[in-house]
Amino acid sequence: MGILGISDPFILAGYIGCVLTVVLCVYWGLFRSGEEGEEE
Amino acid sequence: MTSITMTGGVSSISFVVMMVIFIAATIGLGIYGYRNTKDNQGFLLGRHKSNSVIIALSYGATFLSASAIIGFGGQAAIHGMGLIWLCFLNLFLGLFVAFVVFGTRVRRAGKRLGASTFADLLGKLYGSKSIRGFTAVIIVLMMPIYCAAVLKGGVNSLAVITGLTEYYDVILIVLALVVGVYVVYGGIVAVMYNDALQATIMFVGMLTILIVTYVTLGGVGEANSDLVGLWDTAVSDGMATKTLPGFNGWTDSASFGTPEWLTLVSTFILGVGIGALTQPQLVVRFMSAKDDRMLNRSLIIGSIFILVIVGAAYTVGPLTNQYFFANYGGIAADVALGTDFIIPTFVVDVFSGIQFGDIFISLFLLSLICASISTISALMHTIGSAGGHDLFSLLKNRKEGTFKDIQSLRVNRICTAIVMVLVVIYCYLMPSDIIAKATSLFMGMTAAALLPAFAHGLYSKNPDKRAAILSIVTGTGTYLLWALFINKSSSVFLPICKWITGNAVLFSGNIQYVDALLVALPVSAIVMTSFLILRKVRSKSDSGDETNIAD
Repeated sequence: MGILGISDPFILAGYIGCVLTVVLCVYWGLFRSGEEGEEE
Repeated sequence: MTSITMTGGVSSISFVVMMVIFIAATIGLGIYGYRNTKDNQGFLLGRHKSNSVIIALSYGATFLSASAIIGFGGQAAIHGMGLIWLCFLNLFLGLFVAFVVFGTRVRRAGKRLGASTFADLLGKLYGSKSIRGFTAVIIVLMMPIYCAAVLKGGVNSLAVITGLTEYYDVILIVLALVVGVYVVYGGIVAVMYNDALQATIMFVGMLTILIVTYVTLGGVGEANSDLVGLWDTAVSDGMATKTLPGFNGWTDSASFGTPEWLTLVSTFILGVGIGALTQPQLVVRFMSAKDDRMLNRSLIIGSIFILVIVGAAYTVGPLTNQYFFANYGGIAADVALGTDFIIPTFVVDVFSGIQFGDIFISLFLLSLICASISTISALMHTIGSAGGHDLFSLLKNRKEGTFKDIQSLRVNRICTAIVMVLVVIYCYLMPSDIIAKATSLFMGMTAAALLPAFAHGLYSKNPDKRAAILSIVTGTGTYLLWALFINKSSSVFLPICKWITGNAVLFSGNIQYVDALLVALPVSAIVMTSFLILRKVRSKSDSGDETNIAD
């Protein structure tokens, strides 16, 4: 079974990993921005 | 099977119009940078006011050069979709870890210590002139290879696509001059604002190419499924002659431990993925940020940008095989002029057959120019600063017996101009088709030499100078030995092994496909960790002895 014509688990995992990392970055940018302000 | 030469070039007024608008915008931003560069600190770091959009786009455009699009896109056509793991590492290590784990600490440490460059920061973290000097020397000696590879790759493609191959020299010099002038006069402000403009153009260009590729090949599912079947056809027709042992097709992973697997994983995926963490030109972006909040927010635009640019290149690359086979009866490696020409050849051919194709080809060309000059400008600025700020300060201090940073805007500008000339000369000395490998070489070398020391300096309350020096020296030494005598693809850069032994590398077998970073980084990290553990054990036993004496 494949997703969009690709069935190799190594390659599928690579694509899924990319999308999940973008989700993580967006989450971090939106919800962690307020927690770490200027501190010197 | 037909070979495509692209001698017809682009015959469109749209490219001229786009170039005129682009050059006008570049000059405008260069002037903006010049007006906002009042002193040496302004030249090196700007005004510490960079917002999240500028940081994200500048970081992304600097990180991803024409190397990512045509160099690694071409390699994806050869090695298949497994290269998507490099996209993952670009995102996870090169962006998320770089910003979250290193970025905020770099910005705070840079501000606290008054550091203006990567070498300056590393030197001040350890209070060591030798670490600062060594880092600056690595930048000055090694970075021009990377810079020249990016420049050469961009100009090669530009000359071939436009059909202006006889004007190769002129294009090379004009491109270097345009970038050189705005870097020399506008400093980091001109570099970062131009990066943001160039990143926007790259984003639109690559997204368009991805969409048109899938539309041309019948949709995402159909195109990918056809590519799965193409490998069997290529093998039965005897077309898969240029692949390494272990390659199983463009949509299948390579067999573990084979030359193909070792090249893909160790050289391309890990070499570049890990190397991004210690890129001096990227670290400076953290130091120019207004505050931590801006850095975190940069992750939103930065991640989407990197996913689209790199994901598109590594997905379109393998799919070019399907297109070339359907239209010319051969796979990409046979049809295009060389690895670095696969993506440009494909784009020109695909868009030539559709409505408004000339506009899209022009957009691709402009994206390529943007990808090249955004990286070249950042590299020239970084090399110039390493010479004009770090090495100049160290030499002057040695001469005068002082210990201070010399703030000379003029010296920085002169050094950057000299770098521009050297990079052009280096372009003529380099072999062809080496964009991706030169990128791997520089990123691998800096990671092996500097990553453990960089991490220790940022995270330790009391960084140990001797441990850092030991780690840097062993990392550099191991990397150079392995790259010049063991690894087949990197030994071509300086064929010392061939001069001495008559063979390109010392050993045959799979070991010649293992990238130097895979060995040098662990050695560098183990040496540092061992030294720190030994120091802790020794200081404990010393304090135990003192307690006994006191008792």
